[in-house]
Amino acid sequence: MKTVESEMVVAPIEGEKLELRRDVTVWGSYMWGYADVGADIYAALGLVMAAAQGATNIAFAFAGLVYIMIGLAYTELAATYPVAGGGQYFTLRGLGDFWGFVAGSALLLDYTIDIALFAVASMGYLNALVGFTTGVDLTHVSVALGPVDIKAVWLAESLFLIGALIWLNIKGIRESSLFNEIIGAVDIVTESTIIVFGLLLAWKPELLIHQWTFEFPSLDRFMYGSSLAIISFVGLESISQAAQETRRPATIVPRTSVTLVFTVFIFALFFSTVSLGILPWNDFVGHEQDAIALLASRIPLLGIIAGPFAAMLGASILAISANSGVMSASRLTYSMSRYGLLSDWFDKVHSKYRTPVRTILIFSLIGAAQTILSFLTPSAMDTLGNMYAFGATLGYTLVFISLIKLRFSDPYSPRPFKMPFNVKWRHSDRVVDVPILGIIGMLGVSTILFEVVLTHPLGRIAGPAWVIACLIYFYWYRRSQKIRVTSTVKRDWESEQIEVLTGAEEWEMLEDYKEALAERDKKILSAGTGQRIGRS
Amino acid sequence: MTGVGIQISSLGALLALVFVGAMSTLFYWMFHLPPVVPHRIVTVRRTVRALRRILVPVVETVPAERAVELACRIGEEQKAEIILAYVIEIPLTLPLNARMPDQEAAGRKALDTAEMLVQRHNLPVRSRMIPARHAADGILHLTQDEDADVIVMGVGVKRRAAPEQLGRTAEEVIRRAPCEVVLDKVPIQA
Repeated sequence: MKTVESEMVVAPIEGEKLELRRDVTVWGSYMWGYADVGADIYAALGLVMAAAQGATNIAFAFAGLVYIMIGLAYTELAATYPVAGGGQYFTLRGLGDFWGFVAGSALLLDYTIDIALFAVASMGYLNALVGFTTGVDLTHVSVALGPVDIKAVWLAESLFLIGALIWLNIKGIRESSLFNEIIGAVDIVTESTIIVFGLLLAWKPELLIHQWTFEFPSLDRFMYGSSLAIISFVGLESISQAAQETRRPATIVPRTSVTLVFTVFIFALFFSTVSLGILPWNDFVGHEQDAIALLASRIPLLGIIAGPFAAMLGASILAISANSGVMSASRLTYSMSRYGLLSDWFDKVHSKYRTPVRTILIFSLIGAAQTILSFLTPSAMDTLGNMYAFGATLGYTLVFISLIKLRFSDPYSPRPFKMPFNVKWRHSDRVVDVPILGIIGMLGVSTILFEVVLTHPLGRIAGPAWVIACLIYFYWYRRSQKIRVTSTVKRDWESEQIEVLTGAEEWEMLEDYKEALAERDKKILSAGTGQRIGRS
Repeated sequence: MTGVGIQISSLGALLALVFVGAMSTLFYWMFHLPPVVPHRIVTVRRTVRALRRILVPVVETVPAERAVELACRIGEEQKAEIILAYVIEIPLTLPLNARMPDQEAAGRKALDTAEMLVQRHNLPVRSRMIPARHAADGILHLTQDEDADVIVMGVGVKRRAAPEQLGRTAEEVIRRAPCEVVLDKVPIQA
């Protein structure tokens, strides 16, 4: 029998803003990120293999090194500013409203594509499972629509999944987080099993060396492959998104974030290396939608079970990844509307479920529209991957610039984690730690952005077009608010930071922050007094 | 899809081992979080760490020298500045700027000893010697002048003295000090 309390719903007082609850644990925080990033390899392995050929693991390593730097930058910023909004919030604080909006729109593009790409990939793996068990190939069941052949069953399945995720997210975070955590744990064990048994039972070093030597791609293909490889690392943003709901974020976020960065990097590197040592790269062509299942099925002794199991798990983990796209898009728009970059129409939380229902609906439906459009192109996954890479690299470039800028403009916020390798530099009476790795990371991710623009025919058009469309909205919205598009609204970041740290119960950081501010105020006061005495 | 034949290589086994080791280490590190420190404990620690300028009145007595050592230990973590104060008490029968060579010499000696104690802790130190009608007035004047966060005083009290008897200077400083006062009451033989 249900108790009276369990059925009670606290109605918000009119005008009161409902805040996101802080109930994410260590495993929850890690899984929030893993649900997004961990699944990327399922979608990326086949795509990168088709592009980077015998150098696939080198392409993953190159993109992975840039990703480690991105990860460390996010770790520093998410632990310093544990609020929802992620890269968009960091850019807003570092570079102001305009660039904050540009970063937000780039990341929104990624989240909507995240929904589309992973829903499509998830259903690709589901179809592979059906293929393993019944021999029926649902993926390639197509319907002719004029000159275009649409893979109708695959499209319908993907749209159905997006609809289910919308419903799940409107119901609330707790249910979907638990779902993520269980499936994520099973996935880690399965991926590890595939790698370990693949290495022990089927891996041939001579095949890997042969592919490195004789199947190395042209520079153009390698650039395309490494820029696609970055999509296997997209989603780290999710940990930052969840920071506002994480218990003890300054302690937990650096640990979960660094662990996530390295586990995902290790998985990507090992999967590509194991694949090249078991199968020739061209065996993966045509298997972009179920590459991991193909690899698992080729492991001796285990393959007969591992293939279908990996397909089932791929379908689940990719569905979770699509789910985390829904969650992150809604949290990002919630944050953007809270800071006046979007209309406060978005900033409404459902009084019963306490979830931002409008943003969940709108951006998931955009994801659904992208899914439909991608099925009109020759390869839905390649099309979505193209756009995914553009949004991610643009957003990350802005985050790196913000990281460097914030070291100068906000040296007072305590940083429980700092990117390693800093050079001390005296700047207006203060010593600032200039992040060398941050500068290298910025150059690295800019290079990948350049590769995307150079080698992705669709990404270089659709990506900027999305950002421009968002900027047109921004121009209209700011005009309606009588605020100049390029100006930055004054905000009391210090009070907000104190509020955030108090809410997060990060007492050490709170006291450090207050002390740093008091010392700064004292300096300003004494400098002012000195000037007055000098003048008199 | 069919499996391939079993291929065992030592490099593959080594890589598998590296993989398992790396993953286990990462997860072990992630789950071993430092314990939660309650707000009250953080605040208490901070209030002591916030003491960055410590004033210590010195005279040539063991309790006063112990006070210097105590002050150094209080300020060690935050590298506090130690301000040593010697007050020359000028009788009312003399003008305040009267020279008191014997007291000045004794003061210099007391300050030198105290400075040596501070230098052993590698803390920044300054010595001040000022005239005043009463020691307490001088100490309180210096406290304000130096914007001290805390006064650390050592007082020798005879073993058989009444518990409330701390001496006129200590009592006056405790009553009128604008900042925190740490008093080290050292029992001495009668």
